[in-house]
Amino acid sequence: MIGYIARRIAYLIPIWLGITLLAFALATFAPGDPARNYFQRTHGRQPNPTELAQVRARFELDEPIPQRYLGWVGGAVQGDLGLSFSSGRPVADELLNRFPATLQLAAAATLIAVAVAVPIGVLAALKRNSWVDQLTRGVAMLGASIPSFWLALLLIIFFSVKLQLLPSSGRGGFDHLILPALALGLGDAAIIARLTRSSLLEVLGEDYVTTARAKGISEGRVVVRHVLRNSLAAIVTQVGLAFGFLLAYSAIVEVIFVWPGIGLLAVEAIGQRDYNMIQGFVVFAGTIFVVINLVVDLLYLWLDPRVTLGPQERAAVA
Amino acid sequence: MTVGVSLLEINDLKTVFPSDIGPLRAVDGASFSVAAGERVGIVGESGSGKSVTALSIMGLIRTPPASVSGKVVFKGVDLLKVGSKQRQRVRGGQIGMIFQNPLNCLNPVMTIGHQIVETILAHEEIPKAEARDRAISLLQRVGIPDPSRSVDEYPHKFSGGMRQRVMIAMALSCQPDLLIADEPTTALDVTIQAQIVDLLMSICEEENTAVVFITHDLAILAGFAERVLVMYSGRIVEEGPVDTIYYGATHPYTWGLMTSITRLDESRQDRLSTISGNPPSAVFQPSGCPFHPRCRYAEEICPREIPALVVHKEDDHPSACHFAGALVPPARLRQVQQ
Repeated sequence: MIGYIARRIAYLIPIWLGITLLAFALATFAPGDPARNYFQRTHGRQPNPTELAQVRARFELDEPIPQRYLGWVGGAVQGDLGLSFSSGRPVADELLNRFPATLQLAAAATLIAVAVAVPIGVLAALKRNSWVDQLTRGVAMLGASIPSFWLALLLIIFFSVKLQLLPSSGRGGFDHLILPALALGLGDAAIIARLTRSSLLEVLGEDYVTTARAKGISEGRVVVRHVLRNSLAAIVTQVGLAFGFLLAYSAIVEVIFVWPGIGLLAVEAIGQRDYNMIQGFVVFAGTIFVVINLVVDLLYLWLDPRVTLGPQERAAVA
Repeated sequence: MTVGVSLLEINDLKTVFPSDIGPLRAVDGASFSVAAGERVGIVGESGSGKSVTALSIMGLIRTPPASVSGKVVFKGVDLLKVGSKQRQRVRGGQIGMIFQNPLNCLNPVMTIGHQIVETILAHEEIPKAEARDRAISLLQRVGIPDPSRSVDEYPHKFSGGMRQRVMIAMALSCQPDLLIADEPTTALDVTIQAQIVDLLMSICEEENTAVVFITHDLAILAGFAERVLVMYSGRIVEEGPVDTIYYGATHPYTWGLMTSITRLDESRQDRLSTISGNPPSAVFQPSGCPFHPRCRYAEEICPREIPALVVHKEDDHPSACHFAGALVPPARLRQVQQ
């Protein structure tokens, strides 16, 4: 068990280093001089060489690139992602300030996705090839194809402009959360519903489901305790992935709803060529994504008792 | 052949599945009965309708799309007429079932104890702890080592033979009157097969549980069954006490099954005896006797009339062949019978 967890964590280190390298390269080799930009924005004029050197020194841009990378990764490990070119405040602080909003939005969206998708997927599997199944198939296809930004605009037009029921921007009470969460969650709901259906169908064909029925337990119990329970690993994987994506890639919806999360922060940073912030965001989002994958892997331990085995033990059993 | 009051009486059971090319008659008018405490073997090739018969008795065929008609009278009640709740009470409670592939028959994410307890609690209102104690003693009874520890293990910790033992414990957990064993030994190796058959035999004798043992292997029934039903193309084509079937079979299909049994003392040069051709399609059944296209004794009447399962005057047990009792069995049959 401990070995399994340690192995999973060890796998993360090279992945994480890859993320930092990409993020750093992205920001470093992008066109434009961040120091010059910063000076222009803060002073409204071109810097002279001395001033430029001062700015470079302040943001540690005067060192050779490999050294800068190593210094930056070393800082990142300790939670220091450098200073924002636009605000001059630590990137990590800004990200952490904005992160709760994104987390709230992503959690709400995931919740909506699961609450909508799993019952629909189960129903579609149990009533396969019936009109229920056909209808959910069509709706899911539509849901998966609609881009979230377009859905977001539709939701605003309908619920905010026409019905004037829900606010269209900003973060506040629960009512502010509903539209952006729907815009983000429904697309994932479509995918999760289809996946739930297919993994349920797979399990429904298993011999142990026949055994469960032959035992004379109720059909509801067969579905929940035997079929759904065995499909859970696949569903949890998909939900975990969806949650990770929502945390890292909710930028467009955050912009539309002016939701003050890290996605909006990243888009602002891009507009201002705040390279430190951009690379900080990429590493932050990448780290979250990787950690969520780890959590999903660890959930398998609880979901499937066979997972604790190492590969050799497994081969011996099979 | 019914002696006394039968526990299970199957009458003209027909199970039909829809298919793209027409209705698939998996079971096509099977009739037989099982007395309380009796051990009955059903033997036949793959596709002869043995398993579907078992699933139809259990009520495990999805209807619709399939349709199950006829009578399945269990303890005086026609199970095809009762509601799903009552059906559910019978299933697992009064009729237990074990399956062919023990490796896939247990839920991989539930401990074996939990799976047995779940069965018990579905049929009896007793405290969980009591059900668990019973699960442990059942595991002990079927020969699972260290049952009080094994009860909390997951199925993947057990071998195929051990899992089949767990299945037997589960199927017998509510002291059913009838156990249906659908090819319970087919997926196991030979030594384990014998152990499982012995275990079934001893438990069912002790508990006076009737058993319907489905197999394609006539040899395995020799020491187990009291009566044998031979199934072909969804029907019973011959039935009788085990010795009668072994030594006095009169249906050419049964002869074919018998002569297919291999013997260890045969010379290796001899080719294995087989029944030529394939079992008929359950969609496009031959006219008349379903066996006639493969039967070397077939005559002009065979493709015209379906032979009834009756005792012919030259015969001593029911056999669905127009010429039962009048044909001379192949020479090889004598060899096998010795």
